[in-house]
Order: sequence, then structure tokens, then C-alpha cells
Amino acid sequence: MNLTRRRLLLSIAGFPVLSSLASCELSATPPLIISSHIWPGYELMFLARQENWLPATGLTLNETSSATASMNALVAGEVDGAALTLDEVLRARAKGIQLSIVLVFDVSAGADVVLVRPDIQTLAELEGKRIGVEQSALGALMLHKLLAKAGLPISSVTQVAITGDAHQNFWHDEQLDAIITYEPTSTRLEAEGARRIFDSRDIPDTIFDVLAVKSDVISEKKQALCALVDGHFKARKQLHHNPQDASHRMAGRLNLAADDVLNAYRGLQLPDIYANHRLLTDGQLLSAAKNVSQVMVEAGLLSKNDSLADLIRTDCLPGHA
Amino acid sequence: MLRTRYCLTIFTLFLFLLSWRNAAADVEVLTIGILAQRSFEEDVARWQYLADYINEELPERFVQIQVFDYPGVERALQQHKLDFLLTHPMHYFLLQKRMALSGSLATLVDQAGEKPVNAIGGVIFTLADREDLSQLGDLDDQVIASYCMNCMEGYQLPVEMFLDADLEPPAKKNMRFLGLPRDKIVDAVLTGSADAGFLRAGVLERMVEAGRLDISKIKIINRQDLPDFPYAVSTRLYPQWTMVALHGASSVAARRLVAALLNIENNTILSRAIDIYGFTIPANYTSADTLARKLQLPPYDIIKKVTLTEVWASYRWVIILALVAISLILFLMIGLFFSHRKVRTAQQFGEEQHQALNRSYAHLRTLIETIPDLVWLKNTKGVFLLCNPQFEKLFGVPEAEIIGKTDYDFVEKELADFFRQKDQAVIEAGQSCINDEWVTFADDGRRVLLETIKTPMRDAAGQVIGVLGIGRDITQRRLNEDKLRFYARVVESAAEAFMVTDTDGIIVSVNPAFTVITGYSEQDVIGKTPSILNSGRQDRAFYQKMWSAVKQQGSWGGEIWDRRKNGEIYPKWLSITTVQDETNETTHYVAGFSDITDRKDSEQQIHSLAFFDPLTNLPNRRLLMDRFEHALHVSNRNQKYGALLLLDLDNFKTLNDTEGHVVGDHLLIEVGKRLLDSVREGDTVSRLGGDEFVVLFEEMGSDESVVASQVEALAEKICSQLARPFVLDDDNCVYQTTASIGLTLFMGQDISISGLLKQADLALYQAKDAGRDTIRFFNPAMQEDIETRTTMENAMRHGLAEDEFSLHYQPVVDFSGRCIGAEALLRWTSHSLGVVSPVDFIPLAENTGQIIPIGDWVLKTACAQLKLWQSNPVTSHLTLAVNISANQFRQSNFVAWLKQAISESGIDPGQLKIELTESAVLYDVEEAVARMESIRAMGVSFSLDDFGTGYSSLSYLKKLPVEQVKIDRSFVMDIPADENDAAIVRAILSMSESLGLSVVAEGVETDQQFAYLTQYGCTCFQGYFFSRPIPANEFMAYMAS
Repeated sequence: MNLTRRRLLLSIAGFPVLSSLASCELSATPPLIISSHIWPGYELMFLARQENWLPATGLTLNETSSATASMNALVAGEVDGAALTLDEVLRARAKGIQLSIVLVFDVSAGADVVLVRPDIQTLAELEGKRIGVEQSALGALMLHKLLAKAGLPISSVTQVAITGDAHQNFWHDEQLDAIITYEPTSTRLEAEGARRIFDSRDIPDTIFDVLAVKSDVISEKKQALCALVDGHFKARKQLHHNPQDASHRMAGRLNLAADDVLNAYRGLQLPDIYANHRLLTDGQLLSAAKNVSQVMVEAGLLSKNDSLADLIRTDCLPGHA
Repeated sequence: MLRTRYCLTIFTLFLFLLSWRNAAADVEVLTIGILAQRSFEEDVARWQYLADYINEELPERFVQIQVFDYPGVERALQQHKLDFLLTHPMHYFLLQKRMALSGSLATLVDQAGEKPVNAIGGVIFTLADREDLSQLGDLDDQVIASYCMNCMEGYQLPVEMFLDADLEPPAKKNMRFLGLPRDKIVDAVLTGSADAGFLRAGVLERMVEAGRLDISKIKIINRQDLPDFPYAVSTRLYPQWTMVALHGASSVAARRLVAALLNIENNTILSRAIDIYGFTIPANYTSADTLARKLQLPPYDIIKKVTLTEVWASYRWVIILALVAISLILFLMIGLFFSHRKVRTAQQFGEEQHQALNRSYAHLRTLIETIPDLVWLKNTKGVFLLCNPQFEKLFGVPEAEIIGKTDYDFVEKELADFFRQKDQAVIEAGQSCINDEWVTFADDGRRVLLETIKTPMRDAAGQVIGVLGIGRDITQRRLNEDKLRFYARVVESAAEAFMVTDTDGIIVSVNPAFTVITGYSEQDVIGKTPSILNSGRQDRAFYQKMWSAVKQQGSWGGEIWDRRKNGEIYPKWLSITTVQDETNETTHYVAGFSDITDRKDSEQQIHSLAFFDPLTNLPNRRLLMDRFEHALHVSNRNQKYGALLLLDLDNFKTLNDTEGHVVGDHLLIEVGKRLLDSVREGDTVSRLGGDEFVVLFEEMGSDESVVASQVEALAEKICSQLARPFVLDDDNCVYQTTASIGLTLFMGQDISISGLLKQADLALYQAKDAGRDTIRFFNPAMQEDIETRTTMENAMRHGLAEDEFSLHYQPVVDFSGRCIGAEALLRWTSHSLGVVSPVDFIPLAENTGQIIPIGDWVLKTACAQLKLWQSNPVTSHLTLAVNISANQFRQSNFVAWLKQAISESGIDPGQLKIELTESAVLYDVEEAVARMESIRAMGVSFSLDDFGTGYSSLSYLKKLPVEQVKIDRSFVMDIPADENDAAIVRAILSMSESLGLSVVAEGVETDQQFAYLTQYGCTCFQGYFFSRPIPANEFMAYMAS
């Protein structure tokens, strides 16, 4: 407590100094505002914030309750960027918001799951059942893929709309037979007995969680953006090098026991700065985006394929500073 | 527990002995070293259970556990006594680096209650009542108790927090390393021998649980917010302690040990006995590396610094050699440099001299060639030695062709002689002389006035060897000088005064006219400022405005009143301009002025004449109109009544005629004065002309009736003022006069000025009509009158021309009813107005003067009619009486006019009677009598009309040459009933008889009247009783009957 208070006092005292430094750019322009809901992949940003590895001014993390809320904030022009999945980014771009991806937080490999009541054993048994799904691109995508694998038409299941911050409540109150959810909720539900029947390992290289920022803002607020990216990587390093310390510090916001925090990252690959560079420049992400776009058009989630123009910006990665 | 321990120890010892005896025993002894966490006793006790368990699991081995403090572990490691070690991550890291261990076998999992604790941390604490210690920074220079320097949770982790906060870690001198048990640290803080303490997280909680510590006495510094961690922690969390395999251990033993450790289940008797949760797979210890770097612990504690000494040691000879070589080279270079310099200097000097010489020659050459003046050089014989390009132009040939020749080769002999003469003079005088010459330039033929300076040129010995000539074109200068002289002359002779001041306002020069006008001579004013001329009439603001205009616009002109030297104040027209130099900076101010006294006087006069009556000095009509307009405007704006008073002197004409114009003028002047005295400050008294005066009262008030009475009072005052006798001459003659006054009120601008004047005029007329010396107000009813009057006036004007007038004749009868004569009465039938009664139009005619032409017509018509009658025997005896108005009678040419009318008509004047009213003659009785006499002399007789109605004195009656008297109808009307009238009539009849006058009674309408009149001696009668007035054509018929 004392440490953080001291930190706070120092940061306040240091503010005028900060402003007069080279980061005068930071305080002169309006702050970079990034929207994010609670997701292990995004949580590293918040750990960085907690550990004061992010600049005190010029950058604001806007906490939302769900991806939908983040999207809405983008559309409304309240934020400059958001932590979103790749399909959400394409959705937003289809709405006319010119977004570019500057960072890959994580690649889902098991973190996005479809949980079922213990009595459902096979995918085919999902026919006619009530399935809770978020009204988001990710939810729709997971459902589409799930049903495709199950060989069932869309109409064969009853979709129940659920919201990002209350999956557990919906599971309990709405008598759902299945739910499309993700960490950390999935761990909690699995602890209660829910079974995993499908997860993102079944659809590899599809679900990317990225930091998408409005293209015109990138150069404008580059310093703040790159500070955020650096903060994320520093937190990632802390998680890898001292998982005990990192997990305890993240436990509060994720609302998990410290030990469970590490479990929550089980289904996620966290690419470091070099892996990020590869993903963004080697075309991996681009081809994944193309595939996702196609799937989304087929699923009726997009009216037409994304042009993929200016989708990727490597401004904050090494070699492109 | 103690007993068990004891037994176990004995047993262990026994086994050991056994093993020692059986050298070739197949029991391997493994020693597990454990770094003490709590106290020796406690740790030995609890870890023994682990030893027992392991021994069970590893039957072919004998495992013993030894608990060490840090120094102990070190010794044991040195002596290679240990196979396995359970220690903290930093120690493990250090050992790894030192000895290349295989790695972590398993990681300890501590427990808190029944929950696993997978991380370790340190806590920083102090006494709860230490107000001064609340943050890490406060611990600077405080005594801190800790277990041991190599302790991770109890020292290294707290130090990391200091470093993270950019603080200096506690100085070594402030640290107290107290060793085990950890209770010592708590005690030290509690007793105050240390200000704060570093401990591993969990110790405090354990002490509290054991009842050995009152937690309220303690407070935690830099507490981390980690809700999921069971203990209070002040540092970062790190992975738990680890079991490592040291070199000696066999891999088989290691594997078995690991398996055994990992099999320990939580919440079993064993685990509870050991007081751990269990063991788990090795944790990630990379954080230890990071921490070691941060804290600069081995192997990161040595930073190789390259010191100069090292370098020196290794490269000593090379360095020395290099230094020697360098210094040698430097030395040589310096030597070379200096010698080189000497050579250079000498060389340079020579160069410089040469250059200097060239330069001065070039300079001189340039000088001569660029001098705009003509420069030439002749020797004593007059031969040209040198000249410059300007001079070339004079002769029109280049220098080369001039050198060697003389003036005689270029100009006419006379001029050349002149030049030669001048040159000689210079040579002989031995000094320079200057003269002006007009020369013609050969190159372009222009004539130039050249100012030539000729100077003798001497050699080193002082002998004159030639003449240097310098000629300057002063044509322009001469022209300028002439111009200057010309303008100076102009200024000197100007009638307008000029005064020049510098920028400080000091007078630097004045011209003669200045002295004439101001009276100040040049000496009086030079060096002073123009303020000596000030009259004080203009205020400061005026001068400020004047000077700002001068400064901003460069000039100013206006009227100003100054004071002459003799004190007289006079007006002048002043204009000030600025004089600037080439840089547009003002250098002087020039003031020019002329005395405009005369002009001002003339202006004054003109103004006077234009607006004032020269006689009385009252405002004239023009000024009155001006004031009147203003008065109307103001009245309209303020909604206040004003009044217009029109005043007419009643008998002025008489006075003027009898006493003369001088007196008359004098009277008018006096009247004017008295009027002025009678009115208020703002009122205007003006003279319109003749004896007419107008007084304009402005802003009397807003209540009409009040104003009316006020105005009336003022008019009364005026009347009383004028009623006082006037003493006009030195001869003590006293004159009296009265005035008739017409008043009208006005408010607003509804009625025009001329309309208002008409109103006042009508009122005046009313006053006059009422008998003069009276005041009459115009009232709205009168407005109608005005209109009627105007209409009638206009109609009347046309009347004569359009034959609208006619004469009717009323018979005059004798007592028998026989017609003996007639009275001609004017009738008017206007085409526009119809029949207009004489009562209405005759007074108007008299007022407007139209009575003259009308009267003329009447007389002529009457005479013509009389002539007709005289030609007719029936009517030849008739007399005809014609009414003559007072106006007509008073016309100066009346007598002559009458005479002419009579002669033109050809009548016998004896039958013509002229009826006059009393007022006609009363105005000027003497004059009237004279006229009447002369008319009488023509044969015409007079009848006094409306007798008895005027206020005339009977004495006048005696004087007037009147034959007949006509009793006014007003008396006849009421007789014989009215006694008074009857008495009057009788009186008149009686008097007339006595005086020998005939009497005609007018307005006889009844028999009684007729009878009464006859009774009392009236002989002639006129009236409706006999006949009304009838037209001429009807008259003959009447006569016939």
C-alpha cells in the first residue's frame, strides 16, 4: 500500500517533469484510449498498468464489460482502439471503422470452449438444445464452427443470448444445455461440473486476440501506443519469469485464485515480441484474416469479404519504430 | 515428541555405527541438508518426520536430515557432506552457477491452514506506534533487524523493493543480522533495539497463532495487496524453496527421492507433522536470475572495470615509445614552423611594400578620376601636365591630347588670356585664389558656372612649379542661391506676417510685416516663444488641438485672437505649416498671419445690417422670422405656448408729419427701448417697419388660459410703458402716444408663421377697430373671420374688374315725401360669394386699401349718374351724396383726385355731396379742415355721416365746413319711445338749426318716427319708410311715381 501510494505521489510530482520531457508529445495530444474487457490475454496490459509500467499520462485503459461494449465504444468514437478478436475487428471494419492490428495478444488454443451439461456426450446430441452464445462475432463464429463440426443446421439449436460479464449467471438461470464461453469463466464452470465438448484447438489459427487501433490514430499517438505494447510484453515476461508473483497480482481483476490464474493461460499462446513480428509480417495473420473473413461471409456475419487493406501495422514492433 | 526425537536420534546413531562397522554395507547414506526456516529445534523436529518417511520409501538407503543455518550449509557444502539440499531459490541459483547442478528436483509447497502456499515473500515491519515510519523511504538511517544477509525472504526480497522504489537499500552499518531463531528479530523490534525488521512472510502470523505476539503492536510497511496470499507480505512473491541434487547424489537415489517427495499428500498425518502441504514439480526459477542481476549478487557481483593501472601495466613500453615518438615529432614540427615563419615574414614584408605602393598609386588615380570636380595641373608656362576625366569633358578631348598643350590650343584667345592671367596671379601671390567663370563644355555644349580654385604647386625646395586647378560646377548652386534670395525678398516685402520657430517653439526669424501687425520688433521676439502674443482668449484645449493638427496633418489654419505689444487684442487669420528636411524630419514651423480686424468689423456690420433695423437696433423682419421659426420649433418640442404681439403706434403718422422725421425716428427709437425694457430676456422685440413692432414671447407655459393672462398682462405693461410721455428733443417737447396691440398665442407648428402673423394682424385690426389704444386677442372665432376676410379680399380684388359692384340709390325726401336727393350706396354681388353686405366688405376694403380703387369707381360712377340726372329735368334737382371713407379722405392726393373726377364727369359740383364720418376728420382736424375748405371751394358740400356716434367734441363741429348732419339711424330707431334717444335727436336738431346746418334723419322706418322728427324741425329724411336703396334704372321709375 505504501509503495503504491508513494508511487502515486511520485507520479503526481513527476507529472510536470514528465510533461516537459521528450514525452511532451504525450501530454500535448489527447490521450490514447483503449477499450478492453476482462480476458486473460488482455490482462497483461492491466498488470502492466498495476505495476506502473505504462505511462502515467497520455494513455487510458477503458474497462468494458464485454467485447460488444468495446465495439460500441469504438463505433461511438469514444475510444481510439480496442482489444478484440480478429473476427470482431473485421466486423468493425465492415461497419466503416478503419482499424489496423498493431499487436497480437494471444492465439486461442483451448481457451475458447463450448461447455455442456454432463449428460451430453456427443456433438450430435446438441440438436434441439438450448445453447447460450454471446451476441458477438466470436460467439457466432464458435457456434458456426461447432455446428459445422456437429453437422447440424443453425436452426437445430435454440440460441440464447448471453452477455460477456455474466456467463455464470446465465448458465445457472437460463437452463442452458450448452454454453459458448471462455476463460476465466470456463474454469469456474468446469469446476462446477460442466464438460468441455469443443474448444479452439479444434479450430486452430482462427481466434486471434489482437490490439486494433484506428489507422489514423496510430501515427498521431504512436508514443502512447508503443508504450502500451512495451508494457504488455514486460508483463508477459513477468508472467513467465515469476508466475507466482504475476498470478497473485492478477488474481483480483480476473476474480480467480492465484493458482487458477496460471490455469487460465493454459489455453492461450502468448506470442512474444519476435513471435508477434513474425505473425504480423510473415503473412500468417493476414491469411488467417482472409480465412476468417470467408467463414464470416458464409455464416452471414459479414456482407462481403474484407479488403484486408491496411489491416496490419507494425509501427510498434522492432524494426519499425 | 521429545522422547521420539531422542529415540530416533539413538536409533540413527546406532544405524550409523552399524554402517561404519560394515564398511561394505549395502546401505547408502544420503544426507539431505535443509536450510533452517524457523528455529533449529522446530526444524529438526519437523523435518525428522520427512527423514523417517523417506527412509521408509527408500529402504536400501539411509537418509538423514540435517538442519543448518547459512554458514553451516556453506561449510557442509565445502566439505561435500551433502547429497541433497532444500534451500531457497536464490541460494539454489547461486549454487547452480557455482557448481552446475542438475536442476531443481521438486518444489516445496507450504501450507497456511489447509491451503497450499506456492510462493514466498518477505515482510517489513515496525512498531505500530512508530508514526515516523510508514513508508520504505522512512527506513533510511534506521536500524533494521534481519536474520542473515544471505537470507532471501528476510533480506534480499526487501532490498529488491528498495531498489524498485529507487531508494538506497539500508546501509550495511544499519543492519543487525541476528541469526536464528527468527523470534529474535521480532523481539528486537518490540524492545526497540531495532527500528524495523525484515522477516519471511508467515513468521508473524505463526507467532500470533502461537500466542507469542500481539499483532496490534506491529505494523507492516510497504504491504502488497495480494488478497490470495495468506500472509502479510511487503515484497514481490517468488517461487517456493526447492530440493536440489548435489554432485554426490546418484541419479537413482535422486529419482527415488523425488518420487517420494511428490507422493506426499496434503492433509495427511505426515504432511501435518512436517507442517507442509507437500512437494510439487519444480517451479520456474528464472526469476531468481533476474533478481540476482538486480541485486548484483554473485555471479553478477563483479563488474570488471578497466582501470588505467591495468592498461599501464600491460602496455608500458609501447606507451612510452609512442609518447617519445610523438613528442619528437611535435618538437620538430614546432621548429620547422618557426623557421618557416621567419622566411614568410620577410617575404611578406617585401610583398606588402610593393602592394602598398601599388595601392596608393591606384587610390590616387581613382581619387583623381572619380572626383566629380574638374582637376587639372599646369606648369608655370601654362602647359597641361595632367587632368581628370571631368576636365576632359570641358575640352572634349582625352587627357593624352591635352597634356603638353596650353589653353590657347582649346579656347578663344580672350578666355585663354583670362586663364593665363589668373594662373600668373596665383604663381606670383603664392597662394590659392577662387573665382567664378562661365564656361562651355565642348563635349555637349552646356554652359556651366565653374567655381575654380587655383593653388600653386611647389616642389621639395618650395619653388612653385605649377598650378593645380579644381573646378566645381556651381550652376545649380547659383540658381538655388538666386531663388533663395528671391523668396527671401518676397517674405520681406509681404504684407502678411511670417514667423519661423524651431521644433522647440523658439522664434528664429520674423519678417517686417510681423512688426507692423504685432508691434514687436525682431529683437523683441527672437529667442522667445510665440506665447508672448497670447491674448488668453483661446483655452489650452484650443492650442492642443491646433498643435496636434499641425503634427498630424502638417498644417493648421484658423482664426485666433492675439495681443499686440500695446496690449490691444485683435483677431488674425493664422496658418501654421511644417518645414521638413530631406529625411522628412520636421525642422521648423512657419506661421503666417494677417490682421483681420477690418474684415471682422465688416462682418459684424453686415451681420447687423442683415438682421437688425438700423434705426432702432432691434431685430428686423429677417431676424424675427428666424427667431420665430426657432420659437415654433421649440414650442412644438416642449409643448409650451408662445405669444406673438403685434403693435402699431396709433398716431405716428400724424406725429411724423407734424413734427418731422427726425422726431419721428427719435420716437421710434425710444419706443423700441421701452419695449425692450418691458419684455423678458428671451423675448424678441423687432421692428417690422414704419411704426409696426412685433414682440415674440417664447415658452410661456403649457396652460393656455394662464399664458393668455400672462401675455395680456405683459401687453398691458407695454401699453402703460408707452403711455408715459416721451421727451424727445432738447426743447422739452413732450409727446404722447398710444398703441394698438394684437395678440395671438401659438403652440406647435400647426399654423405657419404667416398664418400666425395674419392672426395677430386681425387681432390688431380688431384693436384698432375698437378705437385704438387697446389690446385684442385673436381667438379661433376670428380665424373664421380671417378666412372670410381673405376670401372676401380675393373676391373683392376681382370685383371691380368683373363689374360685380353696383351703386344703389336711396332717396332722401323732404317733409312732404318729395325726393330731393339720394345717397349712393355701394352694393356688391360677388360671383363666388353672392351678395355681400357692405357692413362686411367695406371695413375690409378700407383695411386692405382696396377702398381706394373701389372708392374711385364709386365716385366716378356716382358722378356719371349725377351727370345723367342733371341732364334729365325730372332728376336735375337731385343732390347725390357719396360716402368717402376715412382712408380715402386722408389720401394725400384726395383733393386732386376729386377734382379730376368732377371735371372728367362734367357734373355741376354743387349737387355733389360728400358724406364723411366723424372719424375721418378727427385724425387730424386741421388737415381735414384744410381739405374740406379746398373741396368746398370746388362747390362740393359736406355732410357729416352717422352723427352722434363718434366721441367727437362739438368744438370740432364748429371748425368743420359742413353743411349737413345726418342723424345716425341708431338714434332714430327708438324714437319717440326711448326718451334718451329722443332727447338726443331733439338736441341735434336744435343745435343744427342754431348752427345753420341741415339735418337728414337716417333710418326712418315708421310713421311715428317721421312725425316726431318733423315735429322737431327735421327737414330731410331717409329710410325704408320712404324707399330702400334702389338701382339706377329703378330710380327713374321711382321718380316717376
